[in-house]
Amino acid sequence: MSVVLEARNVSKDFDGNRLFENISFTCKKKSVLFVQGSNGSGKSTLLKVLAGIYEPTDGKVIRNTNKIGYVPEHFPEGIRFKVKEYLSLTASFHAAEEGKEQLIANYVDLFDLSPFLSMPLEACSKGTKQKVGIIQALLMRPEILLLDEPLTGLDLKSQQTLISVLQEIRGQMPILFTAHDEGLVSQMATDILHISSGKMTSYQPHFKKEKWIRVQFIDEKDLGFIPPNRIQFDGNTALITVDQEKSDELLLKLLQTNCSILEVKEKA
Amino acid sequence: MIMPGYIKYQLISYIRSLTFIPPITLFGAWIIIFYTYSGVPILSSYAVTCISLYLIMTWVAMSVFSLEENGEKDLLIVQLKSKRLYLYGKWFVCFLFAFVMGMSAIVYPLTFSIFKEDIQMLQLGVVIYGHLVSAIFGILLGSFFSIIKKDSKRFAWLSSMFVIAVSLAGEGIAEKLSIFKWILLPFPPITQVIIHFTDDALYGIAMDFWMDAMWIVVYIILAFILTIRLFIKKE
Repeated sequence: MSVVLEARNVSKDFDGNRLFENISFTCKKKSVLFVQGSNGSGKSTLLKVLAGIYEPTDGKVIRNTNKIGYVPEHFPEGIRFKVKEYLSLTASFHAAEEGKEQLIANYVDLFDLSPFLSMPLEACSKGTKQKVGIIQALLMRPEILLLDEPLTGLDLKSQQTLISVLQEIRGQMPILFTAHDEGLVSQMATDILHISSGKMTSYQPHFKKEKWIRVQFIDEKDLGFIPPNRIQFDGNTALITVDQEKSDELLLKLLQTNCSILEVKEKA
Repeated sequence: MIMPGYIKYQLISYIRSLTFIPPITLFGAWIIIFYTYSGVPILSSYAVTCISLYLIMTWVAMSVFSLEENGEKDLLIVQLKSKRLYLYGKWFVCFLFAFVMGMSAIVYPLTFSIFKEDIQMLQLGVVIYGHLVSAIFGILLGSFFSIIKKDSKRFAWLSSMFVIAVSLAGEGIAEKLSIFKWILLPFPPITQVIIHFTDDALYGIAMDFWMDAMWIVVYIILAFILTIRLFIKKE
């Protein structure tokens, strides 16, 4: 699969201060990259560099498309349009495509924005603005989607809606998002990039989430089908490590072999 | 290609910002007051409206380039897929306003037969050229300082007013001290436009007009290239 977005030793300075340095990673069509870091670590600036808003001070960003959807952490203040007007206008920036109005209507329904369509953006709540920010990015039919703290300001229902939209479009384009910590949206990540104090501390491509399952067994032989490097015995209990996506299947098998499930938790 | 939707976005945003009211009102009022009396000379009157357009377009360009906060500008750049398109759209809006104001300045005295004699076709050509170049200088100046002093509006205004004053007084300064001729080279050559607005009985254009016009064209091209590069680098 071809690389859609690549960062090669990207660094960025602002007013002589280095915000981050030597960030490198690649994103393919099916990548969902979670950029993790504390406040001020440069996550938002990195996203702006990737979006083409800022130029990197050093290094190179290679984009194999210019159709980028970008959702800022805070939707800008002072935009002089009503919600519907803004969405229609920004959708019209792109080459004339059929069905733009229908697409707007679909997203407006999905994010429950209908009551606010005639409201000036300046008068909208933070959550409503955040939804408009998400919709404007999706309306571009992007080939790369960049989301800066996408759940900020959204109520639980809207968070679930956004996650289901992202689940639906994952695989069609690389999705990159930032967050302070692991939350709802981070569960989708296939790759993780950690930034700390402006430095890339780790990059885990093809990151797989794992689970720990603690079981009580009757006979050790019943657990013989589990590879030795994935199980630790402690008396008549065992701690099994399993890929998240295979955990349900394993749990079923364990129950069928008369094991009692004591605990299931995500591996830190 | 600049998307019509983006032009519409910028136009609506500029109109709703109401920042167009002071420069447009001032320019309109100035034209009406300036042509209160009839029987005035043609080209020297138009030289004054050229200078007015230069000043007003600097003002308009600075307002158009300060329409958005950084967040809105960032979003527009991504939505347009290009920083250049963002810049071209702004310039397009400035040119629309320049066209309306320039046309008003040229047509108003002709409509009300304010000049002491009929205008010749050659004079009309020079007048259109003069207003076009003055508007371009104003737009370039306003956009240039809005870009390079984007974090300080006060200094952007101060710097552009300084450049306007020096460019208008340039000819006189260079006559007194010839060394300034070279120092003043980066300033908009507005005097090389209005110097040809003379009310001679037999109006004609000579070689020096074409030499000045050539330098003005080269200056405008270089200034646009420099402004585009600075904008891309500054962001």
